[in-house]
Amino acid sequence: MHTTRTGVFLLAGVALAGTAALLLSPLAAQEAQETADARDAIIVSVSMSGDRAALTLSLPDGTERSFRLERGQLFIDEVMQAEYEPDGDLESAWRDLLRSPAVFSPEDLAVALREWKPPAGADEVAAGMLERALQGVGGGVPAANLGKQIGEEEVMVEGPSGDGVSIAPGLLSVGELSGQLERLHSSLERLGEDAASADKMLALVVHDSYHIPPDRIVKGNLALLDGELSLDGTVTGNVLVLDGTLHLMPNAVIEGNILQVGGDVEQHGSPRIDGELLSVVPLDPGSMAAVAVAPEIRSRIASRADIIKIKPNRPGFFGRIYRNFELSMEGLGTVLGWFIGLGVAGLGLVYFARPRLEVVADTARNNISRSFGLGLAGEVLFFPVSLILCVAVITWLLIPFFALAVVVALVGGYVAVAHATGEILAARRFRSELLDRLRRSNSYYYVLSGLALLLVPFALGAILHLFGGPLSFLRGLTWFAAFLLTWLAVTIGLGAVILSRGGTRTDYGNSYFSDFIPYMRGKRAKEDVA
Amino acid sequence: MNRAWTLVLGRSTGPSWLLAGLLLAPLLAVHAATLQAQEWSEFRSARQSHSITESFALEIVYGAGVLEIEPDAGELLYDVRMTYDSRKFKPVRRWDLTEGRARLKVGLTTAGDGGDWIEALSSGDVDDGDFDPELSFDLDDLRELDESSGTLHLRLGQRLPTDLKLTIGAAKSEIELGGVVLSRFQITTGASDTELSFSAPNPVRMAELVIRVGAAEIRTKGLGNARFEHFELKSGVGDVVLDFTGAWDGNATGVIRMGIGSLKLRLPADLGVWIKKSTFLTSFNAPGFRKVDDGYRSPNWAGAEHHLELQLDTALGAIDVELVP
Repeated sequence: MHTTRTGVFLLAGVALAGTAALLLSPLAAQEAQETADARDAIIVSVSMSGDRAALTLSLPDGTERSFRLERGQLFIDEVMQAEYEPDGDLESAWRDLLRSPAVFSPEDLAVALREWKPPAGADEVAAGMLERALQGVGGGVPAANLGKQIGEEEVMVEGPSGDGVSIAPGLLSVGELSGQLERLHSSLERLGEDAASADKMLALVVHDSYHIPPDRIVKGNLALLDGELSLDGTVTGNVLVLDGTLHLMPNAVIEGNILQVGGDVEQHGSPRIDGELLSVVPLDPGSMAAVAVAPEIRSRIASRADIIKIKPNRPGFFGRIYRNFELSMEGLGTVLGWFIGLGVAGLGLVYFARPRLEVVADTARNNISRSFGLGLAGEVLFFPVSLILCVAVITWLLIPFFALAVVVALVGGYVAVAHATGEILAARRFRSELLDRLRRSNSYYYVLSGLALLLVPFALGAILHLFGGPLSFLRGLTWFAAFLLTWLAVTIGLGAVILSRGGTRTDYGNSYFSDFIPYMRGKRAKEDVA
Repeated sequence: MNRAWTLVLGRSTGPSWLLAGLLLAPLLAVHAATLQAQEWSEFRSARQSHSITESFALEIVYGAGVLEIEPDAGELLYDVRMTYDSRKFKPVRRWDLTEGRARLKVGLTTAGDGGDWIEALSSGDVDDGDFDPELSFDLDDLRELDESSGTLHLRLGQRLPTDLKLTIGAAKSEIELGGVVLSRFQITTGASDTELSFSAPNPVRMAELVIRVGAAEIRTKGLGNARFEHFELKSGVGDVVLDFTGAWDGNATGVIRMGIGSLKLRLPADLGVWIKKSTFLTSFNAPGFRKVDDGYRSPNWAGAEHHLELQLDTALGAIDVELVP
C-alpha cells in the first residue's frame, strides 16, 4: 500500500522552457524561434504509477499530444494503438525516458524524443508505433517555446490526483522530487498513522531557500524538503518539514499541524499555529548532548547517574545470554564476597577466641534441637527487647551495646555452626590418617570448609542463572533452600551462643558426637590398613 | 560485579589469565556494541491555546531522567520536549479536545514490538473512560540500572486553568510553577530528587495540592503562592522540606503522613498555624509554638488573618518547624 501510494506520487508534471531551438533543421529552428515570442509556454507533463507511464505535451496552440503505456496497452493521443507486455522491456525503456533529466530541458527533450529507441525484439508493433510517433513530435516540438516559466519562482505541475502542485523555487527533477517525497512519506509514519497521510493534498513543495510573503495563502499542505523557508503567509493545511529550516515569521498562520521529521523549526515573533507542532527527530549520537540537552542538564545527568539509568528493554538472544552470564557471575561474586567476609570473621574468631568458638561449635553440634529452640526464642524476643530499650529512655545507652551483642552473637554463632559443619565434613571425608589428623585438628580449616558448604546452595542458585527463564523455578527452590539453611544455621548458632553463655559453659558440648569422631577415625584407620 | 571479577582474576595464574581474556573478549565486544547502539531522538509536541477556551488537564508520566518544568507567559498552551533512546522507549501522547476542554497525557513508555510511536494524532479518538492505558511505568524496571536516559522539558502556559498531574519514577526534577493557573496539582514520585517551587502567586485558588513520595527527597519553596485549599503529603522514606511562604489570601488545611525521614516545615510568621500531630518515635521541634490540648499553635493564631491547619502523622524521624519572618 505504501509503495502504491508512493508510486502515485511519482506523477509529476513538468513545465519546460527553452531558449535555444534544437530542431531537425536550421530552418525549422528559425521558424520555431520566430513563433516563440508570440506563443505561450508548452507544458510537458510526466506521470507514472505502478501500471501507468504517460507523457503529455500541451502545445501553445492549444493542442495536446499524449503517449501512454498503461496495463499492457499503448495509447497515443488517448487512442489505443497496440498491446505490449506489461513490465517488459518496452515499458522499462519508456519509464527510463520519462525519468531522465532530458524531460526538463527543451533541447534534451527534443533530442531524446527523436533519438529514443525501443529495445530490440520487445513488442515490435507497439514499439514501432511509439517510436515513429515520438520522432514526429521530437522533430516538431517548438523547443524555443518550452519554458517561459524558467526563472519564475514557482512552477505548477500535475499532482497525483490531477490537482496542481507548485514546486518552488523552480523545477526539481522527477527522480529527486519523487525520492524526497517518498522519504517524507516514510518518515511521517514515525509520527503515527494519522500523520502518515498528511502528505496528501500537497499544494506547495519547497526544495530550496524560499520566502512566502504575508499576503500569500497556500491552500492545502506545504512540504519543506530542504533549504530555508521563511513562512510569513498563511497555510490552510499542514506544514511538513523533511529537512532544512522552517522559519515561522510573525505574520505566519498555520491552520493545520506542523509535522517535523527532520531539519529545524524556528519561531520569530508570535506566529499563529492552530494545530500541533509535532516532531520526532533522530539526533546525531555525537551531538545529542550538545543539541538536545543544555549543559547544566548534561552535568546533572552525569552527577545523577545513580538515579537516571534504566534497565534495557528487550535484549536480543546474545543479549540474554550475556545478561544471564552477568547475573550468574554477579551472584557468584556476591557468594564469594560473603565467603571471604565471613571467612575473615571466622579466622579472626579462631585466632582470638578459639576455645570459646569450639565450645559454641560443640554445643551447636551436640544440642541441635535445644540450640535451635533457644535461638528461635532469641529471635522472637529481639523485637520486644528492642522496643523496650527504645521506649524506656534510660535504656537508650544500652541500645548500641545490645545491637553489637546481637550482631556478634549472630555472626559468631553462624561461624560456630560452620566450624561444626566443617568438623563433621572432615570426619566423614578423609581417609588418610595423616591428612585426617592434620586437617581435623585445624579449626581454620573447619571454619572455611563449613562456610563453603553452607554457601554452596547460594552458589548453585547463581549458577542456575546461566540457564535463564526455563530453570527459574528450580532457581527459586534453590534460593529458598539456601535461605532456609542459612536461617537454620543462624538460629542454631544463636541458640548455641546463648546456651553456652558465649562459649564459657562446656556443659552442653559433649554428646555422642564426641565419641563418634574417634570412632570414625578408628574405623577409617582400619579400612586404610585393610 | 567488579569486586567479583577482581577476586576471581586476582587469584588466577598465567594460563588462567589467558583463558579469562579469551572468555571476556567477546563479552566485552557485545557490551561495547550495546553501548554504541543507543539511538537518541528528540520528541516535541507543542500547542497554542487559541482553540481551548475552558480548561486544560495535563498528565506527565516519566520514568527516569531529568525533568524540568517552567512557566511560559506567551500564547503557549504547552511545549514538551523529550530526548530519549528510541531503542528502549517510545514517546506516547494522547490528546483530547472536547467543548473547549483539552486533555493531554504525555510521556515515555517502553518500546515494545508492534505499537505505534505516537498515538492519536487527532482529537476525538480518546474515550473518557479509557484515557490512560499503556502509559504506565513499572518501577521494578528501574531497579536494575544500566544506561543513562534522557530529558523531559516542559513549558506550561499561564492562560487557562490547568490540572497538572506528574508521575515520576526516578528522576532529577526541577519544577517551577510560578504564575501558572493551577486548579489542581499532584505529583507522585518514586525515587526522585525533586525541587518544587512557586515563585509567583497562582491566579486562582487551587482545590488540592498533593505530593506523594516513595523513597525520595523533595524540597519545596513558596507553597503559599500555590494558594491551595487543601494540602496533602505522603512520604515513605526520605527528607522533605515544605516551605509554606508566599502570598496567603485564604485559609487552608493540610495532612502530612510520613514513614521514616526528616520533615522541615518553614511557615510564614504572619500565618496562623495549628499543628495537630500523631507521631511515634519522632522528635518534634517547634520553637515559638504553644502546646494546646490537641497540638501546637503559632503564637498569632487568634489574630492571624489567614490560617493553616496541619495534621502530622509520622512514624520515625524528626520534625523541625521554623517561623519565617
